[in-house]
Amino acid sequence: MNSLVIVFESTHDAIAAKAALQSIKPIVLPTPREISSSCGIALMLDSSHLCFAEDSLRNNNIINYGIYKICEETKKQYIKIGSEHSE
Amino acid sequence: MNTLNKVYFDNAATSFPKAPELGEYICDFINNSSVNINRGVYSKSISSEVFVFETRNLIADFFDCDKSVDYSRRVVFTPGVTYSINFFLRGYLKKGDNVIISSLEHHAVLRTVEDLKKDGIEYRIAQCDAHGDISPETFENLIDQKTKAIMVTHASNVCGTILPIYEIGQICKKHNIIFAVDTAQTAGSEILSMSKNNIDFLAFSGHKGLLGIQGIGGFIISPRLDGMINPIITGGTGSLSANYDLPSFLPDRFESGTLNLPGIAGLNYSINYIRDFGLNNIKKIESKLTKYFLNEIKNLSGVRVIGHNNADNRTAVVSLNFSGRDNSEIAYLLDNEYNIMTRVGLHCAPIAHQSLGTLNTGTVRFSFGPFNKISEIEYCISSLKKILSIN
Repeated sequence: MNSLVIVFESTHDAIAAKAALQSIKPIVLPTPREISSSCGIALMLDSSHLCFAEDSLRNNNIINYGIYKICEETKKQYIKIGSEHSE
Repeated sequence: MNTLNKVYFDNAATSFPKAPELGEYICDFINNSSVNINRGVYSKSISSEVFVFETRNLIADFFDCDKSVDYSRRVVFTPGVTYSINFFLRGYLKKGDNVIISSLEHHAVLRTVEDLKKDGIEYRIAQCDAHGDISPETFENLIDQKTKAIMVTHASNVCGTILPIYEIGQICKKHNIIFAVDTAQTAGSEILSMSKNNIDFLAFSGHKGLLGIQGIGGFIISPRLDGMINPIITGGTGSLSANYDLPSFLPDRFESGTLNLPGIAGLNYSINYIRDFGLNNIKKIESKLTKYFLNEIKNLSGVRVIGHNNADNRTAVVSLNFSGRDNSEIAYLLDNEYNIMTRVGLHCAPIAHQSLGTLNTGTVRFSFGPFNKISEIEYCISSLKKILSIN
């Protein structure tokens, strides 16, 4: 599976996102340290859901997140492909 | 269910009994679910976090917050309404500011603003009349350019009089000042809309009208206050842990330390119970009990009702003064001889008593809840008749 990881500033945001994305059943996992030492929770989903995820987050006023793609070759590197941040 | 074998008329202090089977629900939570949120990423921690998230949404909906704003993150849990009030007064007001309060305030407000005088913060009192009423104009006449907020109780915990918070909210809007409301006496018994009343800071107690357990309360904060309240408690939040400063985002900014998860579980349960039961139905029951009690009291000589002696514009709180008798003695006899529990004294609201003319005597306070019965009121009246016939 080609995966995306969405990381959040706060657990509240992560849980709100999980609810907003429930139809695609994101996997909850600890935020990879390589990405951030911030909030402990991230969501993983199939990369085919990228547009749906971005639309859902926007429609639910969830901001302050970063979307990362897991590098296919190494499976350990994360490449930032999108983000929203508040002022 | 009231299993005390006593009549409980002290719901203004804490509700009893609690929502039916609340104890069993919280027990089950403690035994099976009470792992920490915001710290672990194991699946049980996530389900606790989801649960807390849902409870915030439930509370935002219960208090009719503006639905165009994400109020779920603006519901902050605290150990109780006194803490919520301290968060606001100590965090928002600065040297040179003044705040307007009513003469009916509880010590949660009064002692805090009194203490803030040493920091150069002034408080002004909008004085009530002999019935506990305060006109909106009384508040407006106290405003000047240094007034930063009006902070009021929604209803008096001494005489039950409900303050005109809609009109006060409009005054705050007109003068562009912050409106803070202490809903300890009304949440769970009066319909209360944060959005319709222009409330910026709504402090709530979990263990009174909301029928939850002691040790949980909170506040709801509007966007107008973003960045304007300095958190008075600092610590770990389970977010931005590499930073030495608190996060700027809500609710984390005001929730350092571990939350009272069993208390929040209880609130989720009890607020759902109130919604199913119907807030209007609770109000009807309490009004009926209060009206009946007041009608019967009129027939007793030597007993004065403090505040309004009808059921209009009031909560189910009635204070009585027994002339020629010591109020403490009356309360003692009610409890010791007749198993009726009331509260005697100043009820942590000395200025209210001063305004109502009962500072020297205090009052015996009877406060009814949705699980009290007319038969209990009848029993109380007949008990009072017996007590009063003895000198």
